[in-house]
Amino acid sequence: MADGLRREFLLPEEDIQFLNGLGIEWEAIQDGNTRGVILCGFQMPQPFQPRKLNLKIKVPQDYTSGAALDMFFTDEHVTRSDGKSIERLTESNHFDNRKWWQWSRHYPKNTKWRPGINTLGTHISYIQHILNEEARGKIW
Amino acid sequence: MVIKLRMTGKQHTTIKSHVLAPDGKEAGALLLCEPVLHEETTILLIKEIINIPYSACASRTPVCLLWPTEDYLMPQYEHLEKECLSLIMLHSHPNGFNGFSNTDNENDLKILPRLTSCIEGKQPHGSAIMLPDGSIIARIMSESGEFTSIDMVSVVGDDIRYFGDFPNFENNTDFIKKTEQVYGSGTTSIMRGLKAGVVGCSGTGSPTVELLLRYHIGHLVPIDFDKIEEGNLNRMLMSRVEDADNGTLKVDRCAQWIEETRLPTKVTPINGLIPCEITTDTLAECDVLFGCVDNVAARHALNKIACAYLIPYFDLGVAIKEDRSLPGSLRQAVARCHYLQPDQSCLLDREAFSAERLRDENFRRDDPEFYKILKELGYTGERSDIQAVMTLTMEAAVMAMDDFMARLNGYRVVSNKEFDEQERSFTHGYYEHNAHSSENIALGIFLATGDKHKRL
Repeated sequence: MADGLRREFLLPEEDIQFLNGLGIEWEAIQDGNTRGVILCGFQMPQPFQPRKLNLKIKVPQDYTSGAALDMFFTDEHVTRSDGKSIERLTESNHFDNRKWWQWSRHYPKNTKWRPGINTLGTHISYIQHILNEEARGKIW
Repeated sequence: MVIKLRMTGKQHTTIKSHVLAPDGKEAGALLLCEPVLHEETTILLIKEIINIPYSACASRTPVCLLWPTEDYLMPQYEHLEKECLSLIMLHSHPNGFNGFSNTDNENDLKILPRLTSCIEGKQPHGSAIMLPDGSIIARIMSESGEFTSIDMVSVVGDDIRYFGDFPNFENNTDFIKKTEQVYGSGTTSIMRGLKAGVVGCSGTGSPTVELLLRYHIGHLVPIDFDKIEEGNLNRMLMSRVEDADNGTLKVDRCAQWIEETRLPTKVTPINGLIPCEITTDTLAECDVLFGCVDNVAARHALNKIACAYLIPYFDLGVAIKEDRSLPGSLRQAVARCHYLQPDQSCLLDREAFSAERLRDENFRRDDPEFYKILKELGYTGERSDIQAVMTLTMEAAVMAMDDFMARLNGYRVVSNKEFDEQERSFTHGYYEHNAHSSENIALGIFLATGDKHKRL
């Protein structure tokens, strides 16, 4: 672990391995009663601007015992270089003394979070999938 | 100091089918236990069972067992030390001798003191005996070689069993005799030895408290964080207008009521939230839990505590749906009870609520500002404002209490397995009960973890 990266709450070993395998720095931050995993310098696909930013996933207290994950957040306002607008991107509340923008990207209605199968890893893969699709013009 | 040993029904079956050997000779098993060391209570939770192969024993007869040599046991010691576990060496008495024999004492003194000195840590170690009916007597041994009986051994399965020296009533009053006529003296004396946690003291909680009181529960622990309001007067037994006017704490009124009856039940009210340090530690020491709360985060938390400390858990609830276009007209009204075993499907596995709902309730509790945003964006399901009425709440309490008594006493003519979930609809006129037979997926990692579950 690089110096100064915060690990303020425990994550399952499976998640830690997934996060370490991403090849970027990450932090697990507890701010009051709320928790977030932050991917530092997350690479956004073209045509999103900026290309590198911090991406947050809110982690509910009961995540390790089955509570679902949803959406993601960025600490910079993102635009598209092709001039198209980004839907359902709204200001959210402060976390870790920073302002965050909320990407309201939910799982499809008939897709349920399955404890024991869905993890932080599958959620991050889903986020990457959504961003790539959205970069190509699909609206989520 | 109270000492308890707890196991699941599955674990009990595993031990029983090995040590009550087909050849009628004594046999042994090592019980590796997670110790919970509280100030006045020690609880040993079986984590792992190592059946000693019949052939590995130095000698086996119908009245004597010589354990394998230390070379065989040594590798286990390392494991015990690394995980700070307690060891209980269990063997059978196929002839039914209900106690530790001189040979047992000699055997224990050969092995246990060495074990205690070999293994670092202050967790206790001991021995146990299983009798032909599956009942267990157990003890721990101090470093100086003194034995102390384990007060209660419990088995949480489809049936619930408590073994121990429960009080017998010499001068039985009619109060107890009336119940004994129905359930027998064995069951009533067990009830007198039990500590029950009731979380939530209003709609479903207050009738549960009343039932436990009249069923001779030894020690009641009502838990609630809230005050009595006018809106509780329609369904909280014991509540009075003055309590609502004064904002009396629900648990205080509940305790006051129990004391007023002057019945021989001890009561320890706890004013607190679920989960927090004090409520969790208190619930851990209870022998049975009744969850009488409606928010899913608290129900899930109770389910987790019951898994971590191997406690039988009854989850009570009511659900009312009204016709939105016609306020006051019922569409569906049900009373429901789930029975949860530590190693069987949890409420989340049973889809009693969804992982999404649990997340939203977490945010509502821990991050209200963010929850408000979610609500404004329309992402949270509207919580129903319809409060329950007493026929429903009392029905849920009756189902839970009856289920507990049936599992304890064994009076049902059908298997208790078929009653994991009970539901009675007041609108549709049905009563249903069914089994939920799957592994505990969502809470499996917390099984028998004791106080360590707080760090998982």
